[in-house]
Amino acid sequence: MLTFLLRWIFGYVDFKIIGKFPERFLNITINNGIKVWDANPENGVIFAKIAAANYKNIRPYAKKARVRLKLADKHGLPFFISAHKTRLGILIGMVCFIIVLSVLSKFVWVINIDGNTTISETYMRKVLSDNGLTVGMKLKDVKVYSIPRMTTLEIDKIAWMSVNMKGCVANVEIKEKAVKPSIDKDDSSYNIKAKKDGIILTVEAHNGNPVIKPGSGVSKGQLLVSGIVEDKNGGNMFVGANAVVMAQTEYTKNFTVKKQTEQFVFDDKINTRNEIVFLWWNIPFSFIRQPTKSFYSQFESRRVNQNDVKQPIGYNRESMIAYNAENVSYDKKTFDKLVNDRLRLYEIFDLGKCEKISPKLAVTDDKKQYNVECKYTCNEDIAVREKIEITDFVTVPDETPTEIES
Amino acid sequence: MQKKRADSREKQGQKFGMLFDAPHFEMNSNNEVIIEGSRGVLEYTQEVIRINTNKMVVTFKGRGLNVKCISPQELIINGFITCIEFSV
Repeated sequence: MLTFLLRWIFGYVDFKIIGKFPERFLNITINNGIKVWDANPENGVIFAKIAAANYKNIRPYAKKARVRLKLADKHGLPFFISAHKTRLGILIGMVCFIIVLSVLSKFVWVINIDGNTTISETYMRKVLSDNGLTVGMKLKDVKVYSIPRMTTLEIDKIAWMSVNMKGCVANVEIKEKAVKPSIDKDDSSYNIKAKKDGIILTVEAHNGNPVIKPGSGVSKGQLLVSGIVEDKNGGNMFVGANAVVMAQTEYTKNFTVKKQTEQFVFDDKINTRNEIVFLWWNIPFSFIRQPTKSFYSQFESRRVNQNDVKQPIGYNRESMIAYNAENVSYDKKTFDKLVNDRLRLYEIFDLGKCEKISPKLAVTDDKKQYNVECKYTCNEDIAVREKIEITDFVTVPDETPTEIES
Repeated sequence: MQKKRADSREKQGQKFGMLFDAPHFEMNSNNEVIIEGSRGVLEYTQEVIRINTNKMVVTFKGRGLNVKCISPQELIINGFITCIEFSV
């Protein structure tokens, strides 16, 4: 294959050896150090191949051997170039291609980060950029030894990292530190207090002394389970109280819905602006102006992907749709849907952990708006742990200044 | 005496068993023959190839014979060889 490639690059010719003693010509040529290959006899004529540069040199040997040479065919790059000599564009294109390829291959085009689980890739790219590794920088400026060192110093979570250059791709490999698990060694004393007003349903105390009973009403901040228990000797002992206290609580959600609202009505016509992206140039090929009135714009950017590498070639498209703001009043169906959506969001985000029993919806009509009120009765755990402080027991007496008799 | 000759040939870089200043033939079945020590091609057709060696002429007969590659000292012949003749 390599021999064929070399022969093609330098060019070779097929020729016929016509005469009485073609073998003699072969012997003379070979003895003079000129290589001839694929010599095939056919009807008293020998077909052979020879390097294009040697073809002119064998004419004296042909004369000496009394044979005639006839050129049959030409192959290789020199003949291809001479055949297309008039087509200057191909040559310029080839030269430009080689120049662009050789120039672009001297830059970093892709940075692959591998091994990061807790560190975000965006943050990692920012730190790498600060430490001298960015897309588009020169390959010779990449310091593969100092970048990992600087980055490891900057990000504590990294145990080990390396930067490996493979052509124009920088592969960054990271090994994160194993996080030491936190051990809960809290020996403090806790009370359980109510985080909300409600009626107690059940008290399930795992530790501590319950001070309320099911059926009793409690207010926010009231002591539910005490962290002070009696020991065997009749003394007091501080413990970390822990309990699940289920209570019936109430929530009210109020909001208003305007009878008339502003709604955007879009035009049918979509104005689209396109531009071709080539390297760092954006070349527009549609000249459409922005709409004079308010408009909604959508921007789309596409790049050519080759082997998961985003190339600096592609297009951008901006679609603009003009709209008018119109006042629209809600009908019954739309209103119900809107109210349901609002309440559903409230239930999900505010009453997520509660068991909702009976939502009661009340809508009052105003001149301009609807007032919506929804009352929820829920069952939930209202226990919250609160540390026992020394100030819970010590009462500081009022110190009145005493007069010193002189 | 024979041992002494063999030793002297080995010193000259020749394989044991090869005669000094004589052609060396190596055949792969009857399809290919490698000839070392040739002095030129005397006749070249698809049926007959005659090779000049130093002291004799070797004739290969067969069908579809051709010289695969050729150099001043060696050549390789391909084809269906049916007969080899030595003319001293």
